[in-house]
Amino acid sequence: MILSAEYRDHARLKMVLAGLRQAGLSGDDIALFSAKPVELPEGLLDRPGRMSLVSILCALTFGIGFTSFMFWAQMDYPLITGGMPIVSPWPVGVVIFEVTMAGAVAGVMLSFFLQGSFFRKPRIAPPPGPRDPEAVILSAVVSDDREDEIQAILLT
Amino acid sequence: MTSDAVREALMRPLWRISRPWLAAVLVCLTMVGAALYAWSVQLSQGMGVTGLRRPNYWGLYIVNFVFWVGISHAGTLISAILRLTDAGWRRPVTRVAEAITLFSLMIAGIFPILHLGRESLFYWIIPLPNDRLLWPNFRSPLFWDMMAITTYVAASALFLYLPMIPDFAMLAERSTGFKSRVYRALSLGWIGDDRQWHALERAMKIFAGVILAIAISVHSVVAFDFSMGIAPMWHSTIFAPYFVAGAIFSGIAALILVMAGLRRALRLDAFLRWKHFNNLGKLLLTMCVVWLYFTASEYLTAWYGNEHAEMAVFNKKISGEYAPWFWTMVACNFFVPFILIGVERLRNVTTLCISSLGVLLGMWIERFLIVVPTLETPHLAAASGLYYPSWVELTITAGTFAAMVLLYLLFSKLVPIIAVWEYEHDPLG
Repeated sequence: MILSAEYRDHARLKMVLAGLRQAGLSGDDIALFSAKPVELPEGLLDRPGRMSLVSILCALTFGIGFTSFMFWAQMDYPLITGGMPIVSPWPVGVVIFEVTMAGAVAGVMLSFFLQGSFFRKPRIAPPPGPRDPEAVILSAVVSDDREDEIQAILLT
Repeated sequence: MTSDAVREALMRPLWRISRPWLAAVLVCLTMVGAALYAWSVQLSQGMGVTGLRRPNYWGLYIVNFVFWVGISHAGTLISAILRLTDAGWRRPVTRVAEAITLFSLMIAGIFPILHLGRESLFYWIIPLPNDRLLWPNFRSPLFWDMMAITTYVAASALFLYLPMIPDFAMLAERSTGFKSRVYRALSLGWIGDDRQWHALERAMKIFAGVILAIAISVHSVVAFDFSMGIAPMWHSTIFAPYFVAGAIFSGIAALILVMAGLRRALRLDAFLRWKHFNNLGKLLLTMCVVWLYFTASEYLTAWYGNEHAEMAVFNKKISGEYAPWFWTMVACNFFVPFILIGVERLRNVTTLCISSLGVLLGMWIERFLIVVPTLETPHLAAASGLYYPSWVELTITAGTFAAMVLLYLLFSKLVPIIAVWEYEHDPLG
């Protein structure tokens, strides 16, 4: 069962969230719907992600991948380089840098879609109907036997 | 202002088309049409219709390319720096700035293709085996350009798009029919839960850092197109930072002008306030001094070295046939903004716009003075020659300025020009 409540006062919202966490609800059981981001103190409803790590890994993959590709492409067509190495860091460094950055961008986008649960059915769907831009809707998944207890916290 | 009032004010321009807007679109379309005609003449008759002759194989097309890449620095750099430093006053400015980046890059990207002569073969620069199973030369600065600009366009488009997603969701709710379906698709199923907000804010922070590095590298690469050549007054180690500083300078000027235009046309006085113009004016003033420092360093080094080929170009600019252009550039890029913005009593939106217009003109002249006099004065004196742009080049140049305005006019009817959710989040900045 999903219980929802609407709040305009952020201080009250934080109090209710703290109450829900104390009652044993995990971050996965709670969702906040709002027209603008809600700033919460650390530990109240953290959404840990690996965006930086994914971004760095994608950057490295793109950079190393393209360096290998350039090496292969220049071997594929025997260039006359006048004794210069086929792939040296100076002339191709700029290209590797750009591709590495492109990889970082791709990593950010990938994590954004995964972390934001886009293209997936959300576990807690937003309540239907028009939304008040000033309000924050808190929805929580609760078991039937705890309905009254959670409802009391939401009404705090 | 309540959230509803903010939304109403920012979305009002989207739902109605005014006569001045329509007239501006028609004028721009006419100019773009003229540019397309000029291009068709070039396509059918060849590069002979341009003023490009030996030894001037780079002319207005390259000047415009460098100029528009410079303008593109308005958005990304300013927006990214302000996001990273969490400057609250950025909120009404960022989308205006980010859109400038994307549109000016789209326009900049046209020029190397026009410059090729055989436009249909432009894909040979992409690292795919072409008809003759040749790979592009990965060592060429032209290949670096292609890679840098492609990365920059993609990153800028995403940097602009990400914060638009919540606004698209809001627009989908407030519109009907086909428009609603388009906005819904663009919002990618945004539901506005805390996971999505968290992901968006995190992504924008990382993006800002990455795009900052890309933006600086892009204009450095454009500078490398020149400085990698052993040509007089090009082969300089400070060219990359000199170009980056110039790009930021012209970018800020473009941003001020666009903001002033939008404020007037869309009646956004309540959102784009004096504080925003004043802060950007101070940035412009700082960059004006930085520009003077770089220019003086560049010219002093050439003069002190007294190398024959360098001095031929140097004299041509300082006291020769390009002297009027050179001193106009100095006046536009330094004296006008320094006096009009530096003297606090004179500083207002009108003088900021005059300074910005001057800076844009000055920076365009600077690009021209970098490209043309050097090519006109090669090491072999007997090979020198003059460059006069033809009507084809001039028409295409004018058309791209109109294209920039046109893209902005269309954009202002599709998306709120100020990020609604960002503004609502912290309206006072």
